[in-house]
Amino acid sequence: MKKSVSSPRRSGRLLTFLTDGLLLFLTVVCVIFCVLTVYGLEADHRALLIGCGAGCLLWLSVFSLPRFRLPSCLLLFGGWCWGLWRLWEPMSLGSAAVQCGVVNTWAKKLPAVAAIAPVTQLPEEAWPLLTTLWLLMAGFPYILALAFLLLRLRRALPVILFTLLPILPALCVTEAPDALPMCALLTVWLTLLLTAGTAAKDPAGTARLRPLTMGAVWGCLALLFLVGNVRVVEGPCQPSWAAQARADAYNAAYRMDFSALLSRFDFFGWRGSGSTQYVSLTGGGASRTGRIALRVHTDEPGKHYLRGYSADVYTGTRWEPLGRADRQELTDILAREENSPLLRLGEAAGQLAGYIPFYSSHYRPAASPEPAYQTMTVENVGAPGGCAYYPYALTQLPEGASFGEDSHLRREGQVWEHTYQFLSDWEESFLWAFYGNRADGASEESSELPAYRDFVYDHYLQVPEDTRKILLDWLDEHDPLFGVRSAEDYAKMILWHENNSRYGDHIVYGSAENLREKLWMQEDLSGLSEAERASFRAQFTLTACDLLRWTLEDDTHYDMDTPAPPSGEDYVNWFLNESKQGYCMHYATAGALLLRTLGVPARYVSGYVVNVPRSGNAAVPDSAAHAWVEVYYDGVGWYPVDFTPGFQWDGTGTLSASDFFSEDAAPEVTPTPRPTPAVSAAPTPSAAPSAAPSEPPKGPDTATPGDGTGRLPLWPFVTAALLILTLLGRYLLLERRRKSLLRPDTNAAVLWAWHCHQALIAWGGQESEDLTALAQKARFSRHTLTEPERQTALTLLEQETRRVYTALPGWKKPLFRARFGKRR
Amino acid sequence: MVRRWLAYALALAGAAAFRIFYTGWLPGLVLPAVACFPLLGILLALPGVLSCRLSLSAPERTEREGEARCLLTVKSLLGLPLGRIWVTLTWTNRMTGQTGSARSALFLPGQGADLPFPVPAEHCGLLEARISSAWACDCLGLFRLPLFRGKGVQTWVTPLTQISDLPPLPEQARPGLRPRPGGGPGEDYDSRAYRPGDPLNSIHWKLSAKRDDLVVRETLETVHPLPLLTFDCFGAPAVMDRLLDVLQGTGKALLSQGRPFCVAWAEPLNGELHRFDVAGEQDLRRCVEAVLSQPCPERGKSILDTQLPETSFHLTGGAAL
Repeated sequence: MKKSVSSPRRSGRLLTFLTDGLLLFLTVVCVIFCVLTVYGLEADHRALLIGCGAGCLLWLSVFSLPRFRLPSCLLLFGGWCWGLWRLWEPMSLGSAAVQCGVVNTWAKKLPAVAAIAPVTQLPEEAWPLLTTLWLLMAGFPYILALAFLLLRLRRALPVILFTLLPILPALCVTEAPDALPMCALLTVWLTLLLTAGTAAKDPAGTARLRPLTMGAVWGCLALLFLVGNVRVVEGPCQPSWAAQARADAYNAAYRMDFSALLSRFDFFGWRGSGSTQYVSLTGGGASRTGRIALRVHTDEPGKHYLRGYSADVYTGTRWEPLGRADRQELTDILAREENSPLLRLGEAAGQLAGYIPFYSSHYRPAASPEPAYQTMTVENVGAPGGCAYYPYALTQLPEGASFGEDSHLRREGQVWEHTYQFLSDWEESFLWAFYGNRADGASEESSELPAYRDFVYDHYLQVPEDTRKILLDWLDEHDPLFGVRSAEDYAKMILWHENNSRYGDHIVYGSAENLREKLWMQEDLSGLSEAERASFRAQFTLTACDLLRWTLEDDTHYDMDTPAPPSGEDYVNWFLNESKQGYCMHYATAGALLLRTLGVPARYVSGYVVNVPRSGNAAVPDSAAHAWVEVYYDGVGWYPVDFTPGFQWDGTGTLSASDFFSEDAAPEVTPTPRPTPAVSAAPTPSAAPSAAPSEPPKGPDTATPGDGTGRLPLWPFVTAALLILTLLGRYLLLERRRKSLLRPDTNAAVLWAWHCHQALIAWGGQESEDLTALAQKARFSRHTLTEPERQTALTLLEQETRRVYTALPGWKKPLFRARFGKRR
Repeated sequence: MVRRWLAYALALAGAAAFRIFYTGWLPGLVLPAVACFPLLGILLALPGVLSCRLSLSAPERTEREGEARCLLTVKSLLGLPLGRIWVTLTWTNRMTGQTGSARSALFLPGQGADLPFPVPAEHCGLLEARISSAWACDCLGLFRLPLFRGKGVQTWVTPLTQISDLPPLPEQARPGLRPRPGGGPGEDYDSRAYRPGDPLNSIHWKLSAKRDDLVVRETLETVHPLPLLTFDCFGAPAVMDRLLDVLQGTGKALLSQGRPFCVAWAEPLNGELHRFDVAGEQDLRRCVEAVLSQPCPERGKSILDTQLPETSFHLTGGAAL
């Protein structure tokens, strides 16, 4: 009879042992092979399988021992430490191989991460052995931890998280392991989840259930592969609904303007594609998914710049808007000015003869030719939603938008579609007006805002001192302006040419060696009128823009995959002097700062560039995000200049110096050409490098900051991983606390309750004499506390916890709950 | 279960988000797997559910104010565990008409489990208990699957065991005579008219000749009349409890003195008389059980409405009349 009772128990124990061992072995092998395949590591598979089997058997035996488990663990762990000490050198090499695998996996997807290779020169066949050794040695404690979770705790979730951890870094960059190990790992996960309800309570019964479960899950996965037509392919593999949902989700997030918030706090260097008030320069390229950001409809085909925010203050690592005090100063100025640009824009709506290039300009050529008005409807589908995206040369403020502190048009309410009226030929009008007015020195048409102009010259010439030195050094080294460093210098040089040139008509820059000798510095400007000075300033601005653009194009090259600068490095310094490669953000930043260094007010602008086809409808993808520069012309206002090679205004683009200095269009400058051979047949600036890039940038004609292949930002996964770890830690903490309070040893439970009570004192709790007395009894008395005494202690603890929770301020309550769980 | 559904919904949403935001092949497998997960949970729970057997047992009798403890025994024929089982036990007191139910959940290990169900026995009566519903959850705890429920059980909730003081019973009537069943020799006779079927040897020929009609001689025996205990079988449960206590206590007291007695009561609904001659403990138990298994409404027909012999004694839940 006795035999018949013990036999099923023994067979049940054996079945549990076998099932647990199988599951542990399968889990370890799956994880190891997932790691191998996802990080592209080469190793000796046979040795790994044998090593994993041995490790699993060892730990399984240890955990199956009825007693002496801890000494056995310590003994084995000591042996492992000894092995580690003996094999330290090959282990280090194996570690380097694994590190290279991990980093190179990241480098495949993240341009900011560079691929690496082991420094040590070893034969090719040595690396797999070292990797195998490292995996086996690292796998030993890993199997210990896994065996503890799987065989002692018997909880599914910790095991799943623990097995997910090694491949999580690769999953974060959309790298997946091979299908077979991944499916096997999925089988293990699903088996654990399906038997989670019974595993901890009835290991023997669960051991009967698990083989059945594993078989069923395998069958189910195989069926899914067949029926669901799951294709294991490299790279993106998404059904259309998922891609659409992804685009919609991104659009919704962008429209909620999270991007503005994230960019403001420089969250992991995150930067969305589009326009934001704060522009982080520390991250790599912006995240782009190919989704639609804007939908545009206009009758004016061609290239259009849709402006978002402008940024004003450069800090070395990002662009920021003006400070609060400066914004208030600007508001006061605009409120005082009768000819406020805000008012003028409103007036312009009713005056067909007048226009404003964009809202902050106050230039309105009354005698300009009849302008051609066009309308453009811009629907914000998924662009960062804090501002309206509008074309230049608006004639009126659209409905659903308002002025936003000199930097943007603020979108109002839930208006996502704006219709703008703008001038299609505004560049020509601008040129005409510029020449017409300036040539005669006439300033009566200019509606200058002196206070605003002063404000601009106060705030838009600021460059950090270190950066200014770097930029001046760069200017000295490349000298694109032949020693000219300000508008006054430019005026002196022009006048000197007028007085000394023997060849009349042209000012020849490229071949003027004697310009570099700065003979023109002695010219006297005291005889110039204010209008002439303003004209020289404008000419200098145009000339500086062109020459800086050409120099940048010669000295650097456009690369959408440019990595982020090293931490702490000045962005523009890294671009100009170190990497010499970049994309629109680099060029716009460098252009704006160089102009500021030369005394030209400039600011950084971001938005989208759209090429509207003849149909008039265009869907602007997020990859069309772009950055450019706005420069300030006295009496005219802000004017866009694109410094990115290949992006110069064409059709509706920026002015070039050649427009000014052509024979027809520069009547006020009539230098006499010198008979120097270098000048006579030399190409004039008009024949200088055109705005079109000599080497077009990669990808479409509209690029985005740091353009690259579509990829997900890393931070959500990191955040999710941290969140999961936090929740797991909290769960384990609370579970430990609960178990400690309900453990069979009442003395220990009461002591633990007292410890918990003591922890409450830091949160405003009070000492409990009764609980202290019970704890003292539990600690120092020989008696074993009774169950009612334990209940009394628990009740006291619960009451105090509740009291402390109630007394806490609202913001502390979540912290308290995170620390102590619910209010009991 | 709601929490589990929430967790599953969260997992499904996570898998969908994974499918949407992760562009590789892996979500193509994960999302359908998570979607099929509940089905898999049901399929894997089915062997355990189909092999699960529930049986209920209860003690034969329980004294009032005690606790009738039903024991639910759950076994798995295949030795497969079930994560959670919900059982609802419903009981009915046939005498008072009171019903109740208790719901309990348990984990079923592979080797089976017992689950005691305390059933309240505050009032006398015949308690009938049965498993009104039995469900097991699937492997994920998302669905409930029905289990075989087994048979019901019954237990007597008897009055308190006590010997009451004898109430002031009326004086015993003088012995009387009654025809002896089956006839036979005897000292006392009575004559009556012949009824077809009477044996020929019982005919009193001499008298028949004198009366010119058949007259039968019937043997009489001496009968000592028994005290009759009556009560009304209706009233509040508490009143009935006290009444039954008194009935049983009085009966035991009479029996302890070697005095048999009769118990009579009227059916509360139709007034039909029930009479029990009690000569021993077994008779008393059968009599009490007959009362316990009979519905006792709040109001009904009283036995006092019928003509009772002078020796009857009426019991009540309070004082005797």
